[in-house]
Amino acid sequence: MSEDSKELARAGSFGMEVHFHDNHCIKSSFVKVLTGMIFDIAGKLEAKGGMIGHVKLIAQTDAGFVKMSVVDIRLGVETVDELKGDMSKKGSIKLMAVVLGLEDGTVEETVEEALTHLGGCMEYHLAGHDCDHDH
Amino acid sequence: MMIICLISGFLGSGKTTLMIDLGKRLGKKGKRVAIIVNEVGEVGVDGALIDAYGLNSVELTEGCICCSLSGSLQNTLRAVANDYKADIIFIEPTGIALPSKINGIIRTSMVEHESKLGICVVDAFRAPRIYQEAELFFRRQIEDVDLVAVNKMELVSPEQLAEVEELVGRLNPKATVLKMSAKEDRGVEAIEVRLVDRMGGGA
Repeated sequence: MSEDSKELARAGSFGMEVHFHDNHCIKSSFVKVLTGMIFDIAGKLEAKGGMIGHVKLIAQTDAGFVKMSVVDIRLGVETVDELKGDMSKKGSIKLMAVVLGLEDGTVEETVEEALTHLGGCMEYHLAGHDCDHDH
Repeated sequence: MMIICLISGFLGSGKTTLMIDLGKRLGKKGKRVAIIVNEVGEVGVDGALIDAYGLNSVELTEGCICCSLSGSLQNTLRAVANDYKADIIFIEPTGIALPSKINGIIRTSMVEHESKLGICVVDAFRAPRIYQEAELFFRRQIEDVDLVAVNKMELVSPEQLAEVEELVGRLNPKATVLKMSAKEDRGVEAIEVRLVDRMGGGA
């Protein structure tokens, strides 16, 4: 028996951090975009034959944070909304997915494809990139 | 003296929600709470959430503390115990960790503690599917704990809840089984009481 629990579970995972700026969405639209993105990721991972462990994200801004997770697409997106007042123009989003029965690469590809949802609200870049923006 | 509380359970069962709730409750009672949280992936969402609620946490990512990061857990546990002087250290491993392995790592870390409470959080809604598709983890996560918290009771019928309780009781007849809803703050107090008792009563 393998000593590595991830291998033992046949789990694929991928996590990423995105920095965003020039957000022009109000709070409700911002939350809607994130909800659409995380549900899209979960749905596609299940469609590819995986069993979702969890897909979760936290978006942090000067105006607070919102945390979302999907553990089963039948239950939809669970949201903890601690965003206060007006939306901030910049912030970060940490996103993590763990799925049983899929490879890391498949999870990564699915998550990265879904980032296009963010384009409706903001400019975004992967953390660690080189740019001139003030993050 | 400090106690250690290991909160294990399968992916998405509600470990972090329960731990944040317990951490806030114990903090209000004047207890010093420290948290070691582990994510299987490269990015820590739970650590960011715990920090956002003002709790003290150390995050270990990119592996599981029951296997690939076992050395990191020992070092972190020693550092937190020495530097923070906590009344309680919560350890939240990944959802695919095996509690028996972590118990061994805690034992060999030689960190002095009054007692340890092992809790497994079970998602009542998904338990039948997880048992079917990931039986090894479901079974072993339940076998090696003192208390099983059957969470998300608000999502299932009384009959479904009873079936999950029966399954859990069969897998670990020695464990206390509690029904709860971390989201709706139902049943959490019963766990808080047990932790406070182990810490030697109220503030």
